Amino acid sequence: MSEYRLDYLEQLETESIHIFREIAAQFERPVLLFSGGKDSITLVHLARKAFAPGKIPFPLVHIDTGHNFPEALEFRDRLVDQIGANLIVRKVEQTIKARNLTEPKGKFASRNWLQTYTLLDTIEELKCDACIGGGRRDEEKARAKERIFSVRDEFGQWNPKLQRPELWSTYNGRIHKGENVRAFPISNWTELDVWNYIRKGNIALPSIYFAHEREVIEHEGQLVAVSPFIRIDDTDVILKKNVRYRTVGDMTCTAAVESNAVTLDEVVNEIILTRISERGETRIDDKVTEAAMEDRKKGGYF
Amino acid sequence: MDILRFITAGSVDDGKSTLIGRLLYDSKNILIDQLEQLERQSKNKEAGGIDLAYLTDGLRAEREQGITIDVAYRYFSTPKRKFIIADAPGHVQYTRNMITGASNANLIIILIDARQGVVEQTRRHSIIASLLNIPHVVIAINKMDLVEYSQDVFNDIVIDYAEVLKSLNLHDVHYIPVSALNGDNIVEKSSRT
Ligand SMILES: Nc1nc2c(ncn2[C@@H]2O[C@H](COP(=O)(O)OP(=O)(O)OP(=O)(O)O)[C@@H](O)[C@H]2O)c(=O)[nH]1
Ligand SMILES: [Mg+2]
Repeated sequence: MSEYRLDYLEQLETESIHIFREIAAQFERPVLLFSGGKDSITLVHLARKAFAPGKIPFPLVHIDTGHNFPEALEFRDRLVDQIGANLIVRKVEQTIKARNLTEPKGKFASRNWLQTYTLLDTIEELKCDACIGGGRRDEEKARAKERIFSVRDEFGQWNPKLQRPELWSTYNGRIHKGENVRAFPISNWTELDVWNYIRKGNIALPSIYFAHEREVIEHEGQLVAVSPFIRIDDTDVILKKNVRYRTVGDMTCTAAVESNAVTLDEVVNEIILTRISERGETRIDDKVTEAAMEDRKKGGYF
Repeated sequence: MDILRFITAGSVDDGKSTLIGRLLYDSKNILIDQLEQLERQSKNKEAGGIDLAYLTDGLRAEREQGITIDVAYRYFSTPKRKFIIADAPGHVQYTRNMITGASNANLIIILIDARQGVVEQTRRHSIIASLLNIPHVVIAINKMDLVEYSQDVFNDIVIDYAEVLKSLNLHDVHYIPVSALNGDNIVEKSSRT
């Protein structure tokens, strides 16, 4: 008789499904933060598996900056339709008005940082006690430190110097009134794991993850899509390039990668060969300070 | 392919974070932009311009104080295995964080500073490893460069540690002399030991 063994993707999947079920069991009003990117699509896939044949027992929440790729929005709506999920959209635009915030300025004026306000308002409005996110520890060195159940205080703030113990697969969701938990079921997955899993399950993705022709400008070595959300200066040269996206964030702060990879196999091969990290290659907003992510998380970010 | 989860342990400043940095650096598992960032941040300019511990010491407070406060996780793969590395803090005050990382480990690397030998934290982390039933143990006797790669120093520490083991439930224990800073016996076998 052969031994019952899980291969490494199955082990990761099992861990994530367990985390999802723990969240459902321990919290009253969890939500899944859905951005339309491959990590949150993977989360949705895992959540479906965790609760099949039932439906996902919590809503998907999209914190919408208004700077999305149209392809990502179409994909989002199609997916939600297909699986019969409950989608809640809250717009940063609305927060800017309600809180009288100043719209960011500049060439790549990004509302990325403002999302925190919308997120915190949404948590309060929906009274959520847990927000499920697609953060991975391989993404960034502050994320590499975060627990799978990460407690945030009543202002949504993370205190990295005071994290709770988290032993084995025992996740502690006990919180005080006003606090909430950010839960990260794919903490232990790397970018390549996610891609391998998507390939193995043939999971559908927005078309912009595959090579396509696009008008871009080159900015400090990065290719930024021409869109109404960025300022095109006279000195900018608009180029037509074959590109794909490695992450899908806002059009204002996500750079494209030159590529001819049109199939999942081809994309996975390029990811294996790359010598630049996902954030390094695609994020235009992360280089401001060395501790950008840590500071954002301390302020209540995802 | 399967997954190996391992953790580094041992007393403050024994070189846990440096060892992981060295392992990733010498096995070429650090991406170009991460390396550039590391070069910008490094203060000590050891090891040819980079402070290897900064690879895992990702919090501002950790870099300012030069110590690890909470576990950091790093990932790399070979064609045979996916590795999940946990870099634990050595300070006694952060023992709960060390246990957090150790609870899921299949293998623990306990570092001992060759100049200090077995100290209180070596014992404490060994007891924790024993309580958690971690199946595989590597005792890495580090900073061999500071004791002229002395065989006697190494042997004495092995004898001392064998005493510690007597009351513990640890099996499959291996001893390796290393220099995390210089890379002896980390990825490549050293000619100096
Ligand atoms: N000479 C020498 N110095 C080393 C060696 N390994 C580490 N160091 C130095 O020892 C100091 C502490 O190293 P770390 O890697 O930060 O120690 P640690 O065990 O991670 O410390 P904590 O995480 O705070 O418990 C640093 O200045 C390192 O450069 C070595 O093999 N030889
Ligand atoms: Mg350390």
